[in-house]
Amino acid sequence: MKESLIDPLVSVITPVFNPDPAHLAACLESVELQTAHNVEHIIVNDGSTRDGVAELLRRAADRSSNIVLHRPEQGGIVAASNDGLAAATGKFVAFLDHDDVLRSDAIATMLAAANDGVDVVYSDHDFLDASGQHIGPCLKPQWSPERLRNQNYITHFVMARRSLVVDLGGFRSGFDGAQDHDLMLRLGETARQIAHVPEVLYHWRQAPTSVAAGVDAKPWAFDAGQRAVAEHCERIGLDATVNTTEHEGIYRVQNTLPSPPPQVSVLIPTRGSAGHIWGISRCFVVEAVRSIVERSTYSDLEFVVIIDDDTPPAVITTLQDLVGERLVLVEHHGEFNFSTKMNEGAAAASGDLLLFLNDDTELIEPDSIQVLVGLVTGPSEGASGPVGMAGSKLLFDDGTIQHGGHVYFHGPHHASTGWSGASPGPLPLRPLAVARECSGVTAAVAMMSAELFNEVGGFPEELPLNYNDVDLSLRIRAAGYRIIWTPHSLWYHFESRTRIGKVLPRETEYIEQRWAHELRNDPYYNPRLSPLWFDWLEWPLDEPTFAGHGATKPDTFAMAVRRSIKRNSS
Amino acid sequence: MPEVDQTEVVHDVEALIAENKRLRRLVGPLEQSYDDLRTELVGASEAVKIAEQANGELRGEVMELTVALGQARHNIGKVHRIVIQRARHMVGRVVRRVQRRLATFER
Repeated sequence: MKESLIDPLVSVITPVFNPDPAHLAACLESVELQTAHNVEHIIVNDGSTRDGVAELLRRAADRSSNIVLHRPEQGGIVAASNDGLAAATGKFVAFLDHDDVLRSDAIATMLAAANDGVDVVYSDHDFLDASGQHIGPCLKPQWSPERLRNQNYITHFVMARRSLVVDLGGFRSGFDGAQDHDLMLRLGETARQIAHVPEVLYHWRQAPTSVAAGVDAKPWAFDAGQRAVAEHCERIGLDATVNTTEHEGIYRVQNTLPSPPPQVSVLIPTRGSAGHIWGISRCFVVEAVRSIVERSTYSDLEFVVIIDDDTPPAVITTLQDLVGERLVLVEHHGEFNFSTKMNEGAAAASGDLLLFLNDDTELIEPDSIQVLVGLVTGPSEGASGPVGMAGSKLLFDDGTIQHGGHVYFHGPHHASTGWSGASPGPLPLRPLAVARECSGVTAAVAMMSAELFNEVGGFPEELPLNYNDVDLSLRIRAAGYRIIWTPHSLWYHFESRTRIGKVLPRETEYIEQRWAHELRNDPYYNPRLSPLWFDWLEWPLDEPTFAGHGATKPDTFAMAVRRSIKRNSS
Repeated sequence: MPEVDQTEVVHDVEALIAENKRLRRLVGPLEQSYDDLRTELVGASEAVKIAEQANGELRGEVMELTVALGQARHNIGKVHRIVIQRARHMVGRVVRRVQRRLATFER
């Protein structure tokens, strides 16, 4: 095969071990039918003994664009893939399993995304059942290193510069079953740029022994994945422990706190309102503070409470009794303005880290503050940048989800509102069970460093009631930082109990004018997902992707249910 | 020392005695009952919380089903559009064929 600058050679590597011959034939044919001209298919027979396989490989070897290698005995997917890598001559290498199928324009589409600075490209994929029926797609976000640590959300289809893969030593032995996760983690550490093609270019067959079929099929794969993530953490200087979770393929990376742990200033704007939760009356700010004092495992806390003029003195006395000298009272005069109050609180805070906390919250998981501190004090990750802000999973008083991260897709929204708090979220990526990058988080419970808060100019005082956290999130990201939402920091948020929720028209106008592009193009929410749902619901393939298209307007029914759930839960 | 108005003191004492009586009526003959009431209140609130959470579980399930239904509606819409598109093509082909035949006859 000749290398060309315009049409670079791509080597597709397929290790083969005893596949169903019909599936192997479909796999081989899908490479033959590629619209890209400059493709070599390196097929590594890893000691297959199944009838029909040898014959298929013999016929495949007749094609000039195929290179068929034979290993004398089975060495496993890592050894076979590395043999294929050694024989590859392309500028890029791509990996295709022996029973999977590529879309005919897969390689051409990936090449189109692989411009000069891009070292790795990955696409969306879907699943095939054993009979070849398409089951459903896996629609992925753009490059998300935090998420990759917690879950191999990429899997297939990956194409990378061969020189980079070779420099990294190819696949590593000892990681069979999670060799692709391990390689992707290492590529992520060194690649200049990683691009995502939001198109289903790869069809992953769900054979009974495939990882696609679930954890029981290959339990060792997830053990190997856990080790791969732990080693990755060491390499990037992230002091953390890695554990598996109850959800298959999802890990929990617990960052170790810096020593000594930084002081956290908890900023709580309040006017001392009371209301009924679970049948009894409570003063919200008192119970929010009490829940932290009684349950939190994090001790170096300062409570900066920003009070309005009409805050009852009894509330202040109770707060003083609860936290003593750790209480800093800041008086806010004039009309309610969340942003102004938070900025006044931040100016009076002495902690290195700021925890924004609405007064109508209650801590659930004792290590919630610790989890957020671990995230915002983690190391920077090359081109991806450091974590600027971290947000929590928030539940309504009935345990359903109030906040699962922001989604900026046809406007700013909370993800998966109304789902059960125990739900890991929709298949296949289970976004509610995994710590991940997102475009923004609510300031009802969020943490960032005081330094960065000042660098980006604090909360926008033009937005007194709404979208101030959206604006802050987008400014943090524009400054080159990432925002992480984590399900491992868990709180109740009795939303809109302390003030009437209303959106001022000038607020909508402000946010729309300032962030028009960002509010329609969420890098962490696939463009092929349905507009106006925010539940990772797939928009039918080949349909135009704009809101309200066609006869089945997607918002009406879901919105009615969502409104009804919200009404009932408050 | 300022002089204390004895009438006011008497009134205050009387008010306090009245309040004490009112509270005793609420609490019952034993002061232990007050603690019991508080415990009962906390228990009742916990029961409300558990009931609310059970409700929430059901609401969560409704939400998930709603999303699944939304997906099904999307897919049905897509199938409808495909069917309509194909029907239009078929009808178009038949119409064009008939038109061609008619044109042949006219010649």
